[in-house]
Amino acid sequence: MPRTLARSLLVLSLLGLPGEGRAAAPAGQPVIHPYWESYTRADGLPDDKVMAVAVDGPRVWIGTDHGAAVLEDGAFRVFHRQDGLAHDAVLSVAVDPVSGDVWFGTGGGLSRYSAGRWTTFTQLTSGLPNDVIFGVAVENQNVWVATTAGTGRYRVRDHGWDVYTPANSPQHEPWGYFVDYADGLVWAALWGGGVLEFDVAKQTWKSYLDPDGEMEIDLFRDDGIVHVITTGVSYREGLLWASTYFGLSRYDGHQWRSFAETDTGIASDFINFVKARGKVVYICADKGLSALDGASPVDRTVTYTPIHGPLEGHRGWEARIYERGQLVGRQPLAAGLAHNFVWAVDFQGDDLWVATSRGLSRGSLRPLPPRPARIAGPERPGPPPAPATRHAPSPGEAARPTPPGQGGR
Amino acid sequence: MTHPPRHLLPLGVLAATLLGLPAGAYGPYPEPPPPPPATAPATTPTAPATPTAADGTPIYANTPQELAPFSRFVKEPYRRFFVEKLDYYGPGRDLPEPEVDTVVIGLLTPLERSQEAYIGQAILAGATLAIDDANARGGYRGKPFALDVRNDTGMWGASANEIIRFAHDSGARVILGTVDGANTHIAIRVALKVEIPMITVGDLDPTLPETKIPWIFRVVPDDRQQAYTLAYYLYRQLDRQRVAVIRANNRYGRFGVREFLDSSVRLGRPAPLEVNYEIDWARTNPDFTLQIERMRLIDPDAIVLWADAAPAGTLVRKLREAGIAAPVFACDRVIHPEFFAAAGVHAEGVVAVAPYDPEAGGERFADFHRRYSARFGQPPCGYAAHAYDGTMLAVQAIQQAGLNWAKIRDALAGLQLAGVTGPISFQHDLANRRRVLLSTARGGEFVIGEPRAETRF
Repeated sequence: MPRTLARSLLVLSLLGLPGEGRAAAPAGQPVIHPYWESYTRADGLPDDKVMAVAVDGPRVWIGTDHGAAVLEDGAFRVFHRQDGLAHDAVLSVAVDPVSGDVWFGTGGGLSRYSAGRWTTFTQLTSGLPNDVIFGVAVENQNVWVATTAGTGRYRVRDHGWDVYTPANSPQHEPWGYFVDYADGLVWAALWGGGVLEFDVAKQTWKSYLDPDGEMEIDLFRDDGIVHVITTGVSYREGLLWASTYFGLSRYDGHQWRSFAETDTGIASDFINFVKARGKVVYICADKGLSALDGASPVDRTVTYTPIHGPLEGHRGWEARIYERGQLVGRQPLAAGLAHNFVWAVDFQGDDLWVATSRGLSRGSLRPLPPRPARIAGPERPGPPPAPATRHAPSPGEAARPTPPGQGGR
Repeated sequence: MTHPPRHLLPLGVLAATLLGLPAGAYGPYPEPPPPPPATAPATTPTAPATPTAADGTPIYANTPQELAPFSRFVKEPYRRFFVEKLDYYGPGRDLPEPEVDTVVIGLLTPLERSQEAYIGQAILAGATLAIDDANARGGYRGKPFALDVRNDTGMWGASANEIIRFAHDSGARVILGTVDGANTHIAIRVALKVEIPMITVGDLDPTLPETKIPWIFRVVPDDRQQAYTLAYYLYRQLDRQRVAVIRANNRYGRFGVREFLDSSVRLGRPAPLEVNYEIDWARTNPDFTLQIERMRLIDPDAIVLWADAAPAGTLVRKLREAGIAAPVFACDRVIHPEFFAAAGVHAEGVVAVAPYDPEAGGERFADFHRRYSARFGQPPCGYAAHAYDGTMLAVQAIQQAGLNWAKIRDALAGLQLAGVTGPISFQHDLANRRRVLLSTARGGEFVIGEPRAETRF
């Protein structure tokens, strides 16, 4: 290697800049998103703790601990309880691809935002099983919710409800924790009950459990779901992905595989959410974001995590590349995610939108243009606009006063 | 040093209403706060750390190798969980404290319309005494502590809604609760999303810490420890061969006996019978006819009973009246006046697991016992004592860390308390695994430490 090129790569590496220095990272799926930017309350988000994100064409819908928002044309519009949202704590968001209706699962009921109007469903005013909605998904003309008192289905056309509990489906406690729909199948992740599959055409249920039946161990690798407390589920291209606080599991219809921090390189076993795009699954964990190629014979994994460990994002981020569980490359990032505690992810073209506990982050394959920070809606002026953050917030930046009406964490 | 008798409950009158709460209203008691106790709770390093195997690997829940799942067939499972200390890797520690006039501690516990209300009332009393003691010592930087008390109805996942209200509406800094295993499971996953510390003082469901939530702490030793202790006592010490099980037909009964049933198998003495009873037994099966018939058929040489105090007492009386003399070994819930009231003279000789030793609390327990008895008209049960300690843990964590949820969580994880129930600290799974004892009903009270269990967990 010519000495000048080597020096250039060394300089780039020391500066922590992405670029040709990526030579350290083997190519392949999943691709590395080297460019990141983040949005916080200073940019118009109702709260930094972003727990849900759903892409709807050019729009990005967001659920936070203290309100919902939509990002469109570079500006946020925010919604609170007084606007019609059932509750300010928004745990899940889903968009109906046909009608464009947006469904918010909150800590106080289910909300529908349709053509500028709000409709709220609670357990006292509808068939909603419980007011705390951990997951929401749209299946054709139905909206599914994961609640602690059962997995519910709202039939939008006839305004009827079905509630699935141990009385009418294969589960021993009615503790829904997440729900997703794809390819004619509804998938429910249950707290303590593994994963349920609902065949929409046949209207039948099927259950997937941890074969060893024990909470404190995983007896054998790859024998089934790693643990019965499942936190998320995603089914794409024939691959079922189930996340737990104990690792990740994959089922291809014939065989199970399990993936742990120690044997794969995913950011952590404590996984809040999982979502696949094609064969690649994105894993939202408490120590970072990982992408794993389900078609890779070497379990190629890219993990975005603070260089110096969790809670140290203000000191720099990197993408780590693993194959067969071995670290094979690392790429410094000029900017990382807003925080390593990741709640959710969605996709917009090649871009990633990531919900973290300290803001909304966007990952891109190309350099991101400078953006003006604007806040739409005169009724919610919020904090004064500030330049967009292009780095993980330092502890000092994060210590802004808690706005009125927010309970304070 | 003066101690009360080393028993948990003198034969007292049942006083379901002695707490004097008006219907539908829950809150701090109207009495003026008592003077500070002679001995304030203090931190102590005496509590045991997580036990480790010979190779230094932490052992989950004090489980001996022969009781570990599949240990006869697999030398080592692919992965063992709960062997690393749970930690929280999210933000929040740098957030400013909320402005409050009163430091609210939420309490979710069954107070009415529940078969567990007798436990919930005791928890409320214990927590109330602790709050008053904390306020008598100045509260938090001059601001008073207050309980926000909510009834745990258990209907349609109501505990989930209550956690949201505690966090978003009343601004609670810590939540105490609850008793029912299902309701607690429902509550803790909301606490996980909200990221608010929660301390359970009355739910002994072994699966609670097996959720890996870094926000949930348990003060009271659980049913796994009780089950292990009973199993070793029955099979190893007494050499019993045929131990039958009667349990409540709910999650408490189902998960309470699960570790005992598994242990019976793993120790080579599978239980010949497990029979349950309906929660509305008083209406549908007050004589426990089915259960008595089954016991007659099986003719066990011991009976393990996992039930609430009143049905347990009734069951013991019905068993004896039916001529079934097999000794009865029970969970801690029978250590309550309702058990003696229902069992009558047949309570004599029943062995129960005691979750704490009053002597371990020393002068602190004596002082707590005296003041609690004077205020509420009956001595404290174990749930009241653990509620007092759990509340004091919350108070100390707040005094140490401030009002920030994440900092309170961190403080709780590292606290070691010399409580009225003995030393309290948290193992890797954030559970207090203090070893339990056995006790025997004698003359209307449970005598702690009799019989002596050679192996305790």
